[in-house]
Amino acid sequence: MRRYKLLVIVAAFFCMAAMPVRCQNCVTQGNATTRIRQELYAQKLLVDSLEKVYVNYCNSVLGGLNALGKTEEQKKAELAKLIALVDRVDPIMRRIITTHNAATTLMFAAEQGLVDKSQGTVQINAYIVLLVQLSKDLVAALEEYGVIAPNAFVVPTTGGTP
Amino acid sequence: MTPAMIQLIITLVSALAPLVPEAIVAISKISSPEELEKLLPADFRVSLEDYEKANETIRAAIAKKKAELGMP
Repeated sequence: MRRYKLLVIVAAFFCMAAMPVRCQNCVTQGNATTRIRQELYAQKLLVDSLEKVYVNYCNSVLGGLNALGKTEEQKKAELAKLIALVDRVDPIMRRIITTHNAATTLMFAAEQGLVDKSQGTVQINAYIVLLVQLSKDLVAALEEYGVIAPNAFVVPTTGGTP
Repeated sequence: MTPAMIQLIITLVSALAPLVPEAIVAISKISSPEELEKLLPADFRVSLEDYEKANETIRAAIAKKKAELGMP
C-alpha cells in the first residue's frame, strides 16, 4: 500500500510535467508563418519540459545514491544505468537544441525578409521534420530508462507540411 | 515507510515541484494564437548554455560517485 502511494505521487508529478506538451491548441490551421511559429513554439515547450524532467531525474538518482540501506552493488548498478542514460540522451539533446535554434533563426530571418520566404519555409519544414524525429528519439530514450511514463509526452506536430 | 523511502520522496518532490508554475505559464501562453504572434526570438530559443551547464554538473557528480564507489 505504501509503495502504491509512492508510485501515485511520482506519477502525479510526471503528469504535471507533461501538461504543456499535451496542449494541442498550438497545432491548428493557419498560414505558413503562423503554423511554423506554432510548431517551433510547441517544440520549444516540449524540449524545455523534457530537459527539466531529465536533469531533475539525474539529480534525483544522484541524490538517491546516498540513501540509507543501499548496498554497494545497488549503488553501482544505479550509477551505471544513469551513465548509460546520460550517454544516450546527451547527443540527442544537443542536436535538438542546435537544430531548433537554427530553425528559429531562419524563421525570424524569413519573417524579416532577410531570406527568401518560400526557400526559407522549405528549409524550416525540413528542420521541423528532423526535430520531430529527434524529439521522438528523445522521448523513446527517456521512456526506455523509466525517466518518463510511456505516452506521458506527446510530440506535437503537423509533420512539417506547408 | 523506511527513512530511505522518505528521503527519496523528498528528493523527488523538491526536484519536480518547480515545474508546476512553469507548466501553467506555458499553457496560458500557447493556448492563445494571438499571444504566439507576439513572441520574440528569445521566447523561442532553447538555451544550449543552460543545458551544457546542467550536463557538466551531472557528469561531474557522476565522476565523483564513480570514484567514491571505486568504479572504473
